[in-house]
Amino acid sequence: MSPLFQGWLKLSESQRFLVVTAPVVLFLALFFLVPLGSILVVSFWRTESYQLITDWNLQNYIDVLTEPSYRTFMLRSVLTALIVSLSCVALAWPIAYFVIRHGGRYKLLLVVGLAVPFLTGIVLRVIALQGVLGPIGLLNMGLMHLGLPPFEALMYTKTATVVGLVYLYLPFVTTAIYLSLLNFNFRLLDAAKVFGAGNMRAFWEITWPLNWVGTVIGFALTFVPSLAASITPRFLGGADGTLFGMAMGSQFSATGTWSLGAAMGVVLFFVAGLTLFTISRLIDLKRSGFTGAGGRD
Amino acid sequence: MYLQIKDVSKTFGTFTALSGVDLSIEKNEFVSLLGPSGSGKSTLLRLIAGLEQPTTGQVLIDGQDVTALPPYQRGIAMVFQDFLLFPHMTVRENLLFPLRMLRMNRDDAEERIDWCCRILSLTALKDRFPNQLSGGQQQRVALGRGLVCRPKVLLLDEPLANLDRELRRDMEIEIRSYQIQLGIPFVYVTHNQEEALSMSDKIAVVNKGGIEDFAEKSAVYDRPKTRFIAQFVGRSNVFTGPVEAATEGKAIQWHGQRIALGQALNDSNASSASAYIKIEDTLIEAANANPSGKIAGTLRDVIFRGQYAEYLVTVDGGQEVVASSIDSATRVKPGDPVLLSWDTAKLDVFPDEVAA
Ligand SMILES: Nc1ncnc2c1ncn2[C@@H]1O[C@H](COP(=O)(O)OP(=O)(O)OP(=O)(O)O)[C@@H](O)[C@H]1O
Ligand SMILES: [Mg+2]
Repeated sequence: MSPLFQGWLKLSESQRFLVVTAPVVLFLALFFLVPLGSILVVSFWRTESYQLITDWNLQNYIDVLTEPSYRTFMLRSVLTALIVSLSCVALAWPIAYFVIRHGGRYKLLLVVGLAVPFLTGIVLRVIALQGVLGPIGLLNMGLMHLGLPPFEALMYTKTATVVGLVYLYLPFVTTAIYLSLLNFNFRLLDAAKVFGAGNMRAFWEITWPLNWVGTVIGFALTFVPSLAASITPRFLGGADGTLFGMAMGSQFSATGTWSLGAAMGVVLFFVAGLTLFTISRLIDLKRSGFTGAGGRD
Repeated sequence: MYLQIKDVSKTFGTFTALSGVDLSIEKNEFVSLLGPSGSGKSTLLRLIAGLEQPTTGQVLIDGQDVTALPPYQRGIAMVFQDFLLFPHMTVRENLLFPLRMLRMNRDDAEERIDWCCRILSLTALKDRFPNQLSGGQQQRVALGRGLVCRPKVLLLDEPLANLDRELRRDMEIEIRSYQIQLGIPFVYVTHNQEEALSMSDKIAVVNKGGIEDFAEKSAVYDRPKTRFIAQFVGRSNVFTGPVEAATEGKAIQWHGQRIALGQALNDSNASSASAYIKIEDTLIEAANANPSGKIAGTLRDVIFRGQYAEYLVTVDGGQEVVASSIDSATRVKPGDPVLLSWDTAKLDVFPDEVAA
């Protein structure tokens, strides 16, 4: 037995816990809490001609919350994120369901295949989408080839942003729902049918509630990053499609008003946090069908 | 006939799971489908339930052809081997489910659930989730969910397979009593012959996708119609060998022993045959009894099985025979020479198929 292992055996339960968790805590502190804390601090400062000035004030927050354009951006961001996540869920369900039911031994391959576009990185994907949706993109070329009028208003619109974000996050949601369905006992549907439920009824009574948690996780995985999206709307959204995340990004680059940007980040953090909190309230683990939830009493 | 299965076949791809199955069940009958694993019992049950469509043939319930109807329009209920309770619903909600699908009004539904909980002693568990129940409790909920909607037919697919012996015996008695109480046919799938024999009115022996025999349980046990049934139902000694003429009727030449067949095979010219005798019909005696017409051997071991014992006897040809019938005055111990005998009329004799 190595001396290291002997030493380990001498430790009490709580000491061992400390040893195991310490690196994780350290990592989180260093790369999550410290940056977050510094953003919070900076958000109460002031920037003047590319200089941070450390006098404590609330002006940034007042600006973020009262400036009509920021409110519009925020509202637009929330709405976009909502539409994107709902669309993703609506698209991912049939895809995941089909793969599980008919994928056979290619199930895993099909799901991994969905994620292939990821390998190219976000910028390339957005540019590829431009190639499809743009004024002389694939879609319009196709339409014209068929003798149909081209879509004027596809590229550089809010719709294009939504399409881009859906394209970006669909694999996440599909994977979340796929994993959920993978653990779902489809024979429960036999029971539902024998006891009087039709196909639709069986879905809403059994399949949906038992895969609700997976669906909600997929939703959150899309909603939170969509809320902060900046690259996709910048490339696809056009002039009147500015989202909150874009506006925030420009505080750190173009205008150099870092403290305002920091305040915007904090606000975004709270909106996202609030959403996650609301979502978590919608989950009743006891009713999720997870074995082990609740336990015996 | 209340439940009729007419010439039903089922193939999965190229595999024939069932072929030419006919079964007619009366309204108040308890029928067991007994057969080895993979014989097609569950498939037959799923066909009755409508969870599977027959490749050919018809299913009739109460005179109505339901072959084309989906499960939810057949008015049947089913208890599954792995329970399949809805994990996101409490016991009460699980029991309520079939009633909700029937759009039963609230008061009637509550009354039914109370009735169900009472007869199955589930009242204290009503608000638990399935994962908070023991196997036996889940079993009772599954049974309750089958009974609560008062189906036209209750199908049970090895519902007791996951229970220990004691609980199983209690449940056997209870299930039988619910069947009598409700007066509807129960179709009970099992590969446990004791279960089939203790509960049912009739037994259908299923083998390789066909019904070997469908008869009163005593007939299936005492007078097996086919060689398969003789092997599968009860425990028997088997004597296989060439057939020869004897002083009275015919006999099987079995490892130097002569097994008299009485009247059996009188009209047959089979050259070889097998004779089966149940171990409880095989009598063991001490060697000093009258040896005429009996088989001599040596007692090798005695295995106690509770109410009875099995005597493993090595007969003089070297073969092993099991006997479990013994006169209470007989005292034998391993190593003793013994005699074996039986009532020739109780032999079940099947001519061997002629090898091509
Ligand atoms: N969906 C299916 N696809 C292909 N083959 C199937 C299917 N369902 C059943 N089978 C086959 O049909 C045969 C009968 O199956 P079934 O489940 O009816 O057996 P069983 O008598 O219930 O056996 P057990 O006692 O083990 O439950 C088996 O060989 C099985 O492999
Ligand atoms: Mg089975």
